Amino acid sequence: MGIKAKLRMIGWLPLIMAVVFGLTFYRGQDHLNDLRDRSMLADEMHGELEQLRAVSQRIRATRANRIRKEGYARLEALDAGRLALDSGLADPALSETLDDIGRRLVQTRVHYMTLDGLSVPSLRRVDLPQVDEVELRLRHEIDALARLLRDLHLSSHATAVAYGDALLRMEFWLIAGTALLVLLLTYPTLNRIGTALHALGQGTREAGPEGLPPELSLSGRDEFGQLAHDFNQMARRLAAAEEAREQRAQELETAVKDLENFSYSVSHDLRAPLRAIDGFIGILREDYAPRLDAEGLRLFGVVSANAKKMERLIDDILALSRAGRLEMEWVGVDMNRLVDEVWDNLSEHRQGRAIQFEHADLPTSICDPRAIRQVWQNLLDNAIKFTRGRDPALIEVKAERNATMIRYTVRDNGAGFDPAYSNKLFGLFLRLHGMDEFEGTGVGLAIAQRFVQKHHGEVWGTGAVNAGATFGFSLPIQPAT
Amino acid sequence: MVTRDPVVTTTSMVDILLVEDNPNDAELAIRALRKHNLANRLEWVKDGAAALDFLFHRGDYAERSDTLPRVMLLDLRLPKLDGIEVLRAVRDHPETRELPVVVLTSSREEQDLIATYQLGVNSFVAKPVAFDEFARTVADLGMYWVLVNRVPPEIRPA
Repeated sequence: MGIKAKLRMIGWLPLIMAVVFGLTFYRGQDHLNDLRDRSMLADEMHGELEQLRAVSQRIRATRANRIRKEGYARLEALDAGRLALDSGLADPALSETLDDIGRRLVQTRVHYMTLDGLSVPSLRRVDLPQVDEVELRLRHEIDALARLLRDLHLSSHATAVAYGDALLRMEFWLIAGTALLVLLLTYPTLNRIGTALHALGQGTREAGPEGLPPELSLSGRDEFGQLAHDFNQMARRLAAAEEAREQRAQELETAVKDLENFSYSVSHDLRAPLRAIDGFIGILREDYAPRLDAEGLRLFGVVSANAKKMERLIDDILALSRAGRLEMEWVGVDMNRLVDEVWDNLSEHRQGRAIQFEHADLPTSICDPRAIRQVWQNLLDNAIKFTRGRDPALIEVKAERNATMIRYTVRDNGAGFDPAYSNKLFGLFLRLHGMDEFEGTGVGLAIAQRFVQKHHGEVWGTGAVNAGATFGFSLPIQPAT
Repeated sequence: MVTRDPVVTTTSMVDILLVEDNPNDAELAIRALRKHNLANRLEWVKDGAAALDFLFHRGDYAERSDTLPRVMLLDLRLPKLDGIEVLRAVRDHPETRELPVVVLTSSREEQDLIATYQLGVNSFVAKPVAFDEFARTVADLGMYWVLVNRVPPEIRPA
């Protein structure tokens, strides 16, 4: 049986028992009243009988009509009492007694009437001994009746008392039984609820090995058993999911390891052949220059330049890979100082150029200074590169803040770009300008984007062909470190 | 020219111990040093185990004279024992503890820089890819460590 059904039963049981109690109590009281009525009636009839006795003793002496009529009245009352007794309880044990009473009442009436008749003065001389006999018989009947009625009164009274006791006992046992039944039903249920809640609570609170909830050992076919079963099912699903996640994490770790090994190999093994290419071209150009014509030397120059370009590519790939792997350190960074430092470090790149550099007061930001330095460096370096040929070149750094982010921008009046391809600005190795126009590998903005994304910020670029470009990045004011 | 073996006699004094598995790199380095007359007393070994054999007078180098080179130019990626392990063995041994060791590697990885410095490397130099730069870097290293730098008498008895 389920807990719900048990609780419902426990709820209904006292109600049912109360109804049963009420019914038995009501019916018991009814019966008890009847018994008491009978006892009282017998007592009353006894009284009437005694009065009849008195009347019958005085009837010969007085012959007063009042006395005679009173005797008849007593007889009527006794008959009425007998009828009332008859109509009361259908008690088979009493029927004989009642019949006896009835019979004797008839006899009594007959004797009384005879006595009454015989005591008429005109008949007085007829046969006196007969009167004595009648009187004797009447007295005899009355005595018998009196005995019967007294017995009836006493027995009814005793029965009523016994019945009352029995009724009380029964009601007591009824209440006690109900209470016991409720207790018997309630205790295991409450016990079950208590244990189950404890087990479930502990099971959900406690973490087993690897932080997973432990298997609940709660059997039974009630709701708690089902709940524990469901819980275990859920825990198993969780464990399976955790295992799958772990496996994926392990795969990811392996992939990262592979990538690290790969970048190490790139950094080491791919450079050696490049060095050999450039090195031996260098030896050729040094030692065999007299035997080569101009075209031969140019061709070697092309090979050498490509070897160097490939080295730059390798450097940039590694820088991007390092950008992704950077362990973030969050500190408050004075952006004004950082931008000034980066600008100074780029002095080599702007040698011989007239560049008008303006930067507004920049708000301090909480970020990783190594990453954001690189971002500024890439954006400013691009601005320097793409304003080549502009006179005067203009580079402007600004910042604005809203509720959650600070947006830093670098604007220039350089070559700009076709906004149709702005979606390719931050793509790896994607370039919007020809190699012979502006040098580069197409990694700088991808690295900047990677770093800014690690800060949960955004990068963007706007511009138009020959109308300059604006690149920006946003950093959260309160970083989720 | 391509595979000229620059090994000198094992009994004479060695100034530079070049530990380099890549023969092209070795050739480029030795050429750069020779231009400055620094390759005469140079020993080239091709793996980490041979480097330790040389330093500890073992195997092929059992008959070598006692003196240590003025500098060891050590690559990191090496067959048998890698550069880090060689460096550790050198620093762990009382006879070679003071030996000047210059790591000359293609690696630009920070982890290598940190690991070698923690083991007490004397210098860490990344091999440039460009020929001119590479030649100049190796020549500078040779000049500095062989001609300019002074070493304690345990390494070079006066």
